[in-house]
Amino acid sequence: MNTIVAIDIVTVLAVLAALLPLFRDGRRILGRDSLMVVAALVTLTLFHTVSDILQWSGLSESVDKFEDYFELLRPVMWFFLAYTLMGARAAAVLRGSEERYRTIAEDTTVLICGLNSDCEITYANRAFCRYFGKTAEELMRLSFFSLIPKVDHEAVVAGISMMTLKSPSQSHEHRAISVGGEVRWQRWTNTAQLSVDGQLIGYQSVGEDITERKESEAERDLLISAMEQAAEAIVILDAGGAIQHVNAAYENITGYTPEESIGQTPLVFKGGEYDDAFYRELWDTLERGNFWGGKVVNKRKDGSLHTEEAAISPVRDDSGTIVNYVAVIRDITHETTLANQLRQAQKMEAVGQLAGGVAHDFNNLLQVINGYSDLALADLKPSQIAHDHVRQISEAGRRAATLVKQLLAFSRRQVIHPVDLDLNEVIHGLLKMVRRLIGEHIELDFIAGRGLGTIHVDRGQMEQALLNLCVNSRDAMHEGGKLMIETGNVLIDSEFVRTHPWAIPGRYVLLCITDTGCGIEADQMDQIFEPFFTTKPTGEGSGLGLATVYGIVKQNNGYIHPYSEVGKGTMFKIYLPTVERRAVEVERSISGAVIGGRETILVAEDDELVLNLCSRILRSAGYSVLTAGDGEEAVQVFKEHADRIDLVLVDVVMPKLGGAEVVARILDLRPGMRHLYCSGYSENAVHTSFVQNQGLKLIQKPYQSETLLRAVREALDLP
Amino acid sequence: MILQNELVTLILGLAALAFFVVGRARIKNLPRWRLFLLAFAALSAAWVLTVAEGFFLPTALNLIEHICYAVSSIAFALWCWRISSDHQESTK
Repeated sequence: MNTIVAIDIVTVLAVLAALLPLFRDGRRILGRDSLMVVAALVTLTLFHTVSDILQWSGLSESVDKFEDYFELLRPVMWFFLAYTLMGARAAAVLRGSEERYRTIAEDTTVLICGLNSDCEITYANRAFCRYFGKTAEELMRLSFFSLIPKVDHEAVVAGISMMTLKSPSQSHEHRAISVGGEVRWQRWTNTAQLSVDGQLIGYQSVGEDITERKESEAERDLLISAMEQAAEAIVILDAGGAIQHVNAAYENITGYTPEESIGQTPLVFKGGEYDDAFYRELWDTLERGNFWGGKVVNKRKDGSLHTEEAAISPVRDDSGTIVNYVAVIRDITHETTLANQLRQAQKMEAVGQLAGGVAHDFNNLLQVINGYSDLALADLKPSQIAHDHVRQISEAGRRAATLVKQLLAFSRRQVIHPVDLDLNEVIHGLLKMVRRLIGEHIELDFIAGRGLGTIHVDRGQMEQALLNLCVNSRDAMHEGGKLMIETGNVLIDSEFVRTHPWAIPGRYVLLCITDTGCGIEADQMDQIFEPFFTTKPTGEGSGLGLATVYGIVKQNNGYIHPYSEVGKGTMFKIYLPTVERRAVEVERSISGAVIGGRETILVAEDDELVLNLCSRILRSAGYSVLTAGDGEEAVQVFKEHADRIDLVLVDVVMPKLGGAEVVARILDLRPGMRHLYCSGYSENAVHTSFVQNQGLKLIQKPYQSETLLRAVREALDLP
Repeated sequence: MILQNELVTLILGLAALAFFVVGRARIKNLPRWRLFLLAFAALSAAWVLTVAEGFFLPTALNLIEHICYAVSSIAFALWCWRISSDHQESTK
């Protein structure tokens, strides 16, 4: 018995111990309802236990009945206690949750607002208020549209209207007028709040400022557009050298699409012009973090080579590690071609000047050699040994004169007499000679173009050019073959110029000479027009044939374009500009017998040897000759002997006073005075151009005795 | 011998227990729920023993019944103290 009493006392003490914290803050902890239940439960327990103590200690038996009834309430009280505690707990959790979310909503930097179905603001968090510079009270019932620029209203309405029962949440970006009137971009996520029956009751909107992102996007878009539309190819490589990105220009230059390029290394496209050491040095430079710039020859997709000017820079991340390389590539194939052509043209011009200068000086010497040879031959009898020696000298002099003439043709310093010509007619006139020249083992075809345009060229030069090319073709076809001469009209337009930079747009007559000979090696193509360049064995070719053709074509404002394949043949295309005139029939000069005279001729020549020779030739023909060593002396002599001088023969280029000035002064003294120019094909064509321009007669040095005497006679016999 | 009030108490207790079982998920949300449940379980055991002692081992089962009352009261007192101290800590 005592044991049970002791246990019950423990129970009572425990219950009393429970009261202490409940008295202190039971209401706050449990809530009012639960506290009342606990109080009832504690009371019942105490009553029941005390009753038991009294009963088991034998002090009382009267409380048994009450105890029995109260005991029935204890499970009920526990039920209520559990029930009220759970309710209080749920309410506390909800309150806590609400508090937490309210705190989050208020403390966040994200803009949060609630709108009713008319888009009037019903809630705005602190960030929203700060962003728009208004208090929550000012924002209440304010239309959300009043915060948005009018230009964006339509887009916002469209975004809202897209919300449906199935898709109640939509995101869209628009601008809003921030604090201070600044228009900034935001991204809003609006969630429609619907009633149970599906009616719209409002919106919950969450927004964030994306102005900086928009600006970054705009900047990025600008960079991408600039990169994609740049004329230069831009290639981005990864740290390993594989292509990561290429722009549109890259495809234009190389022919490779981005899909074909990405993942490849640029070495795949190398043209084979450089060895491995070149590429190794290039990559070493880049891997050391340095810039590399230079020219590279790469291969296009179609296999053709193109020259690139590349500038490659390493791209580093924030830690300084190289993460990419960016290459800016410019196709300079066209410029390189032009530069090569310019260099070639300059070289030809320089060689031409050299050749022309040498030829000019040689002319005076040859004039003397040939002239005195002729005079000596006239004085010697054929039976004399010296006659044969002088004849050899004369023959060599003639050959030298021919070479000099070719050099002058190449250097474009020949005095020419261009006339309007029908090229077909010129070729027809030469065909017989060409057939004889090339031999029977070569088949000759001439396809004359219909309605061929008129060209303004020197007929003799054109014939020479044609014959030179035919001879060249003949020499390339030892075993026989076919030589074809074609003419036609061509229009060189800007498209043609794009692919043939040497050309100028316009209408041209094309002369095409094709043979089926051995062809020309590719590495020799640049040299074929250089004087004294020949592939023929020593002694078989002068190396001036094609150089002469080149000079003639250039002097007549045309172009010559060679094309050759070794073993198949060679084609020369000559483009000559057309003129809008009909070709005239040119009378070929018919040489008559040389006649001397008794008239007096003033000869002005600065080269003493040439002066002496000229005087001797004229005197031997019966003329009286007065001489002058320069222009001023010529004028002086004329003044002294004006009455008896019938003709003035002057060199165009003389010291002190030029030929043209001498003639002008003489004509002042005696209008209508007959005069004649001679020239050693001046190194500067300007000196002789006035002769051509005024339709005057000019004797070209070195001249033969007959040529001089015939010209003098013709001048004297003019009416 | 079965007393009528003891049987009714047991039935009510079992009904309360059924409520505890059904709502155990929510019971688990209560602070210090294990002590709370222990207090109720000990009380329920006492109610069962009260009925059982009418059939066999009356003395022993009666003793255990009172021990269960004591355990229930101690567990309940501990529960009160613990939730009080938890509350005080959370408000510091």
